Amino acid sequence: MTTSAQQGAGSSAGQLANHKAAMELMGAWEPGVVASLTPNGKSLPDLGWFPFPAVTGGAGDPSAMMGGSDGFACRKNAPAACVDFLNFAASKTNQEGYAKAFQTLPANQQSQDVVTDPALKDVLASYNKASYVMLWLDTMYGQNVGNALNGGVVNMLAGKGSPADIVSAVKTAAAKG
Amino acid sequence: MSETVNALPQRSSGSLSLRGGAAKASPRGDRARAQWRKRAEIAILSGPAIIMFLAFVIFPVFMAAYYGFFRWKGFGPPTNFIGFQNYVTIFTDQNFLDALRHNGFILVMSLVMQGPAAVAFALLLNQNIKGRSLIRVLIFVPYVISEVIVGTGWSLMLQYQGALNDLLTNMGLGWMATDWIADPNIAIWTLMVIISWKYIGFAVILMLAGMQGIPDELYEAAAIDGASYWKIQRWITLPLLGPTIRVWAFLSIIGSLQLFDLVYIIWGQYVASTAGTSTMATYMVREGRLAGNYGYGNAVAVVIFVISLVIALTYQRFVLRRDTAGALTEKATKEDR
Repeated sequence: MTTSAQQGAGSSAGQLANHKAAMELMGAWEPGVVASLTPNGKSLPDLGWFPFPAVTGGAGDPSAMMGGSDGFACRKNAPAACVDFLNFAASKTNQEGYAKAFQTLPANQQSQDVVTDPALKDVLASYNKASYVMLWLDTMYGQNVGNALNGGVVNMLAGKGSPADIVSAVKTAAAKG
Repeated sequence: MSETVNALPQRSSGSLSLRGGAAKASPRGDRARAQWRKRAEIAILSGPAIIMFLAFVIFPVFMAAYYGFFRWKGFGPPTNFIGFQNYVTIFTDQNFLDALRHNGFILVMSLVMQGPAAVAFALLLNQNIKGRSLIRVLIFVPYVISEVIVGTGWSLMLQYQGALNDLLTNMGLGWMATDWIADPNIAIWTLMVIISWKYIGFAVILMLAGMQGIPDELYEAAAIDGASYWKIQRWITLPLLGPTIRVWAFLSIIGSLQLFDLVYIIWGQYVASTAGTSTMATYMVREGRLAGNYGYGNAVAVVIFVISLVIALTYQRFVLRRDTAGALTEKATKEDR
């Protein structure tokens, strides 16, 4: 619970990188993060990926994904240079460079060819086939309710709460702001 | 510590009588001028402090009370007035009640764990033993180290994969290894150990200073009467250390109520309440600033302020009053009230 996510060999990503943990629930940045934490600093050859398994009796679509499908926006009165800059950042070559540098997924569809990591290729294939992709739930709910949601989940995983407690925590948070 | 408390009122009463004597001797014009000068002097010397105090203590308290009545996200002026709704939410939120309970636990356990240990250490260090000054320094070192370094260091050592568990395993005590900071059943005890380790040096220094202030004649007289070492400590040192102990307890209580940094550094922003170590201050930051509920956060700040104020004033009124009445001169005591 107090294990950090990505800092050092003792973090959850670090334990994965050093073969001390079998799996973790993470995003598409994982191969790059894990690579930076392996003993030799290179990408982990046996790192794989699988979609979150469907829950028996659950109403969700197993192919659906959550992710950082948010983006950048320009302010209403922003100069045209803002749009130019975002287009520049999203251009094919720059996204290729970004994806290579961080071993992650590019935001531009045309740049997807540079993805070579097997784990990332799996992610990309599922992403392109996904029935829908929605924003991370805590991000969508915002700081207040989103944090309460995360806190409720942490409580439940630590054995200190039930799913109903998550709902009541979210309701209490909504009353605060 | 108690010496500084004593010195202030005495000095002011001393200067008062001086001024009275000077006024009688001088003619009228000089007297008016002296009066004016006295007022100017008071204004100039106390003005900056009063302005700072009003601007950075009193004004924020009133602003917090004002914002606490609004549902406010921190953008623009608050408009959504909701009366006491924030306060109702605070006192019905289990997380806040837990944090309050943790504060109470820390307050009591700090006194119980650190007080006797500090007196014992001070008694030990008051003896003529070899390496005394080195031990004094070593006991005081944790207090000097910044909270951030203490928190980071302990949190790394106490991780499940950390140094302490490795040490236990290598010593054949692997069965004792546990998740010292994440297990909700022991996390608060871990916090208590870290707090005690960090702050006991301060308590020991205070107690030592208090012991230095006890006149040697008393010990000599007791020794001549044939009192044993323990009898001397019980009937001379402890009673005369009373004022020091009470002032230390006051500082410890205030520190326990306001505890924030160690918890925030070791348990981070989100898991303190799950681990059972959240305090009112970490609750305020999490629910106020991190969640972006600035109106609510201000209401929490007001609650913390009121709780601390009530406890501090009660303590001053019922516990510390004995010390001011006994330690100060009769006149200074009257002026104080």
